[in-house]
Amino acid sequence: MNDTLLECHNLRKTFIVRGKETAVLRGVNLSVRSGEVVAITGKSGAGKSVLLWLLSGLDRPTSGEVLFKGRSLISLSGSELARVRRDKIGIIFQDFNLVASWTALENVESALRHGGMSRAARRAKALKLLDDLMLGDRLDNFPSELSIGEEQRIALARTLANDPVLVLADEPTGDIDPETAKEIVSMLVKPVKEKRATLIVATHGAFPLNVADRVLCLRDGVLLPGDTSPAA
Amino acid sequence: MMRDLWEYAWRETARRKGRTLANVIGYLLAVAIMVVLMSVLMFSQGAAGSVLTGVGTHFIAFVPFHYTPSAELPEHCCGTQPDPQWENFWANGAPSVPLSTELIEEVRKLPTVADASPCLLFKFEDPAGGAFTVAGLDFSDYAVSTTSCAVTDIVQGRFLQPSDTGLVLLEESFAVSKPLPLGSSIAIANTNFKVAGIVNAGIRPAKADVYMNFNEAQQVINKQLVHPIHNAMNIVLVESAGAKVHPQAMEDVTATLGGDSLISTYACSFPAAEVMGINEKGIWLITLIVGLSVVALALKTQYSSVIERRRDIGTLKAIGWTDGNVISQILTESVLQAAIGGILGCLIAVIVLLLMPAEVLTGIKAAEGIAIYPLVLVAGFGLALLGGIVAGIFPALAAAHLRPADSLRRV
Repeated sequence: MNDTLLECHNLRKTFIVRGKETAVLRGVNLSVRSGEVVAITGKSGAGKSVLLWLLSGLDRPTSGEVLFKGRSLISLSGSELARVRRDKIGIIFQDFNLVASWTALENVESALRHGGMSRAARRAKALKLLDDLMLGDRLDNFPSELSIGEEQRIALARTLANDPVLVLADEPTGDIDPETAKEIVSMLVKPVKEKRATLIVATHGAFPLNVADRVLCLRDGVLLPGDTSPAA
Repeated sequence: MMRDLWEYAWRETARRKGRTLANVIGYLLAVAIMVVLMSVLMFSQGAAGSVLTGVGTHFIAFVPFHYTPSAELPEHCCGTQPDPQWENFWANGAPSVPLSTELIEEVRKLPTVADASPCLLFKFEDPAGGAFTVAGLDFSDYAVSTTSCAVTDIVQGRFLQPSDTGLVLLEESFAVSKPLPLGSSIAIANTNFKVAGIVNAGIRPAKADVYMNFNEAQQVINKQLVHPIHNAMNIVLVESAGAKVHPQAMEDVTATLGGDSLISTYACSFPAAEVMGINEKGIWLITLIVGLSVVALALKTQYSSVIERRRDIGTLKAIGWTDGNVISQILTESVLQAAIGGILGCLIAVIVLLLMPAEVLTGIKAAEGIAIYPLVLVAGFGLALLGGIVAGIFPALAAAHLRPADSLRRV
């Protein structure tokens, strides 16, 4: 049985900056199975975030193909891509990207708002997620009133709200102290593994690679097999 | 779904106070100014209508007699005096032909006409020398008072009532020249009438030397005619439905009476109506400029807000909000701010209209203040909502077209 969830073939992405072409991805090939945890390492600026955005359909490649459950993301319209992200894919951003004018609860509820759930069900689910992440007493706080670790946990709750089958995490522990990072990793990996979801983490080394089933390294625009040492 | 939209819009509106305040004040000022201006306009139109009525939204219509020395005189025209220049139906200083009084009903039905009345104006030979004119009028009709003579024209004695018999009014200059003082008698076609009042009718188009009730005028005129007339008149006295339709009313009446008919009116009604028109156009122009300025300001503020929230919008799209979700959210925020500004603007306008005397706002002395028209308030609020939609739709579309990656990418 083919349980490949996500794959990409010969993925290329080139940016034109001040009239000069810069190739960030030069032919990335990747195949990820359901339930797999994959870590993608690489130096800052190697193109890890760009790759995650292409895999989630947030950006379109210069050439190549991304298949999610066998279906090409390139062929989908903006609204179709949005629905795929809403129902199937969860994204954690490097700098959390919480809406500053919304409270912790509202930020989590925002992911559930257009999914067809009742208001009461949405509220209950958001409350449970925040409670599970030990943020039950921070519901009405705005992001500016929270610590970095709390912000990342809210972002995590928002990502997990729709029970995604694929979670893409961009440096989820990048700016967090080691103790909090350890908690975040646990809070991220545990539900992912419980629900047999797939996790792809982009990291420049702060993420503990031993939790990954596979480690890849993005270097010179291509993915190579990587080692599990934090310094890779 | 709708509840969510309004709830989120309310949160944004309440939490981004500076931007909200700028937009709400803009809509508030625009609606307040528009409502006050529109109310002032409607008030001034009413006042202008009164002024224009005074200066001539009335006229007379008649069909002139085409006299030539070789032409046959009309059968009804003359009795003892064959010269139509002496005794004849008379209008605007020349002979005219009698018309059926049934035309009056047709004229009254015209939408541009407020009132119409029949008039028999006949030029009699004066046995003492010269001639004088007699106007037979229905004194119960309003059009009589604006085109011929009015109770306010009384110099001596009293005005005539429709039920009066054997009584006449004399024009002051005629009474002085004859002389015929108040209470004296005047013989018209061998019938004596007592002078009940003396009037000075100014420059009205159906002015005569003697005024009497219509039926009595018909009787004395018939004494001079070979073929007596019945249900006839030779002048239609007309009051237009307003200054704006005055020219149209004259065209309509001319068409009803036939191609040969002529009109006599005051020339001053035309420039007066034009002046009022300029005033009205000016107010509409100011209202339009204010409205457009506010929409432009709101558009700019909303667009700035979209730029400011570019990253938030990118995030929402990344977590699954569609273009439609983003558009409806931003549009709702814009409409909500417009609605708040619209309601407050209407309230401010009502306060201004209640507290400020009409004279201060319009320069017109009036016993009553400017009325508050519910329709104007509804229109002002509606315009604010429309402005909110216009100001919101473009930023909303711009936000929807933002590519998530472009919004989220760190520059």
